[in-house]
Amino acid sequence: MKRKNVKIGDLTDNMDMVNKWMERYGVRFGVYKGGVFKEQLFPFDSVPRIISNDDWLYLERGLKQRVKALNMFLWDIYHDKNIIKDGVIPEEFIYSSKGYMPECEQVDPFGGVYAHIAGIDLVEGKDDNWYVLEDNLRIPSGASYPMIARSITRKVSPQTFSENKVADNRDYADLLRDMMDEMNDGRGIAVIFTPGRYNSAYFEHSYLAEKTGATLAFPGDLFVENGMVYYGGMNKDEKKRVGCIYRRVSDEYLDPLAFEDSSLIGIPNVMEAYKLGNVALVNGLGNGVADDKGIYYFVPKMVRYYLEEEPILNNAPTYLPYFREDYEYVLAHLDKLVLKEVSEAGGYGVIFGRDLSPEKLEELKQMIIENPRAWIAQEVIDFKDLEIIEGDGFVERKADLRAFVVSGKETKVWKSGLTRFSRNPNSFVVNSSQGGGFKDTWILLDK
Amino acid sequence: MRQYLFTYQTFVRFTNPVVNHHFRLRCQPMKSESQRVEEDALVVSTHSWLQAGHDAFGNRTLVGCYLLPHLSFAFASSGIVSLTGEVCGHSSGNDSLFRYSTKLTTPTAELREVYVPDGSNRQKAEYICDYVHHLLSYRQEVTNSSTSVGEVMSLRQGVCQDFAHVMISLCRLNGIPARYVCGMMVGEGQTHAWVEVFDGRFWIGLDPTNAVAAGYGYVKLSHGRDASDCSVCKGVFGGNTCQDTMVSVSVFEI
Repeated sequence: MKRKNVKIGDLTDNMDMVNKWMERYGVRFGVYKGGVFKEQLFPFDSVPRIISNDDWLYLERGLKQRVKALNMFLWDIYHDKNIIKDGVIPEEFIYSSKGYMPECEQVDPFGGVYAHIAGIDLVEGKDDNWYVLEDNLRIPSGASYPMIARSITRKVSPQTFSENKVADNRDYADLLRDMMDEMNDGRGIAVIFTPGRYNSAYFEHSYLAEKTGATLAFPGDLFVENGMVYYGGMNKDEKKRVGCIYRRVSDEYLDPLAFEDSSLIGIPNVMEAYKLGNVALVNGLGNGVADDKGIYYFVPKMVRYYLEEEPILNNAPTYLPYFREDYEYVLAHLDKLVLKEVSEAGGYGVIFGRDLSPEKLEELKQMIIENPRAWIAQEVIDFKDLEIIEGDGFVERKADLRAFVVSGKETKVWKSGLTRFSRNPNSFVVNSSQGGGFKDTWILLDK
Repeated sequence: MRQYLFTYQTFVRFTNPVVNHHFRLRCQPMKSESQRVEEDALVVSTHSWLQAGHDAFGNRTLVGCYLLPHLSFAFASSGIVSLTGEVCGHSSGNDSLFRYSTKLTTPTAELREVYVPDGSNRQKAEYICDYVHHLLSYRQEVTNSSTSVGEVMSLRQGVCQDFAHVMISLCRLNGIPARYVCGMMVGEGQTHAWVEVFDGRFWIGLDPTNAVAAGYGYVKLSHGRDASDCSVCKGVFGGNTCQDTMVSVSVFEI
C-alpha cells in the first residue's frame, strides 16, 4: 500500500505480528468497571498518523508557547495572583476548582516548573486547522505506547523505516531522564513512584522506569525523615536519599497527612519535604487548577497575558455559561453543542446535545441553570478521520493526538505522540478508558 | 486584656507495637493581634524527627516521625495566652479562599432558601449565628469528624463542628467569607469549634453552638476552610493493632 508520500505496505501487512509482540510485552491498560479491575490490551493499528514537517514545526512552536504560559499561570496562582487582580480570570474559577490546593501557596517548586510533563490533546479539523481540546498537566499517561510500538514496528518491518524518513521517537526516555536529573540537581536518586500494579497505567510506570533507569518505587518504599525523602529498598534495609520523584499518584492521595487521610498509597509528610525544597515532585502539586475544563477557556488569554504574544494554537470554540452572554447562547443551542462537566476527566461527563431526547435535554438545561459554573460548552469540531484497518480493508475513524511536552530548564516537545482512535464509527470520544485503540505518530523529516 | 493558662494533652496506647509512625500536629496556639502567646511549650514522646512549620493557612504545625516499634504516643501543648477580647484580626491577604464551599460545607437546597435580612456582613453573620443555634440541637455521638452539612441538616443535631459547618455554609451562600476555627474554651474539656467571618476589614469570631461572640475565654489553635483543614493530630503507622486515645483539654483564666 502506498500513501501520499510514505510506504507502509510491509507494516500494515504485518500488523498482527506487531500486536502479538505487544501482547507478549504486556502492553495493557487497566479499567475499573462496576468496581472490578480488568486489564485489557490496547489494540494497535499499524497505519500511522503522519504529520508533515511544516505542520510539526507549527505544532511545536504552539505547544511550547502554551505550556510555558500554563507554567507561568501556575506560578502566579500560587504566588501573587496577578491574573486575578488584573481581572483576566474571575477568582471563582480558581478557588472553587477541585484542582486548586491552598497547601501549595507560596511553595516554590524547583526551577519554577509545575508541569514537567504536559499531555496536550489536539485534533485536526477538516478545515486543516489544529485545535487543542484539553491540557493534561497532572499525570498525563500514554507516552509509553508509541514508544514501545515504534520499537516493535522497527523490528517487525525494518524496511518501513529505511524507506520513510521518520523522526526517531526513541529519545523520550532521554528527555524524561534529563529533565529528572535537572530537577534532582544531584540531591539523591530519581524514582518513578507508582500506586502499584492495579493502576490503569502500571505498564507505563514500569516501562518508563526501565527505559529511564529510574528506580520503580511502590507505596511503602519511600519515607520522610529529617525533612528528606528516602528510599527504603526492596528489603527496607537500605536508606537512599531521593532527590526527584516522578510520581504517578494523584495529588490528593500523595500525602495522607496533608491531603486525603484515607490514602494508603501516599508518602506521609512528603509535602513537608517538598515545601522545604528537599525533593522535586514531577509533576508538581496543584496543577489541577490549570487543566480544569473551566480554566481551558482562559488559556489563550494566559498566553497574551504572560507572554504578550498571540496564541499560536487554537482552542476549540468554547462557551462558559458562567458569563451572561454565553449562558443565553448555550441554553438556546444545547442540541448542537458538546457539554462537558468541568470537574470530570477521561472522557467522562462529556455530553453531545444532539444525542439527547427532548426530556434529557431539558434535564441538562436545568442542571446548567442550577450551577452554570460547573459546565463548559463547545462547538462540535468536525475533525479529520484517520484510516484504520478493519478486517481486510480500511475504514475511517475519529482520532486525536496527545502531544507530550517536557519542561525542565527548557521546554521541549517530543517528536511523536499518542494517536488514539475510536473503534465505534459514531463516537467522537477517543479516550482509552472508553475503549478504542492507538496508532504510532510519525513526524516526517523532509520539508 | 485577660490571661489564660491552657493545656492540651493526647495519649495514645496501642495494643500491639506499631512502626513507621508519621504524624502531623496542629496543637499550638495561633499568634495574632487578638491573641498574644506569652509562653508556650510542647512535648512529644520519643521521636526520630520533629520539625516546626506552618501550613497553608498560617497555622502552626509540627511534623515528625518515629520509625522503631513503640506501644504509645503522647504529646502535650501548654502555655499562657493574652486575649484582647475584641473579636478581631486583620485581613489575611487571601480572604477569597474562604468564600467558596467545600465538600463538608456544600449547602443544601433548604439552606439556599433561608432568608437573611439585609445588613452589614457582621449583622448578617450574627443573624446566621443565632439562626443556626436555634436550628440545630446539641447532641454528641450522632455525627463524626467527616459529617457533611447535608447530613447535619437531615439530622438537625450535632456538636460544635456541625454547628460551625452549617453556619459557614450559610455565610458563604450570603457572600460572607467565613472560616472554621478550632480551639479551646474555658469550661470545655475537649476542643471547641467556632466560626470567623470577614466584615471587610476584620475577622470576627462567632460561636453558633453557644450563640455568642467568641471573645474572652476562646483560645484559638487553627483555622481553615472547614474542619478537615484543622485536625489537631493526624498520623499513620504500620502494625496490626487497636488504639485507645485519651485527650484532655483545660483552659483557666489567671
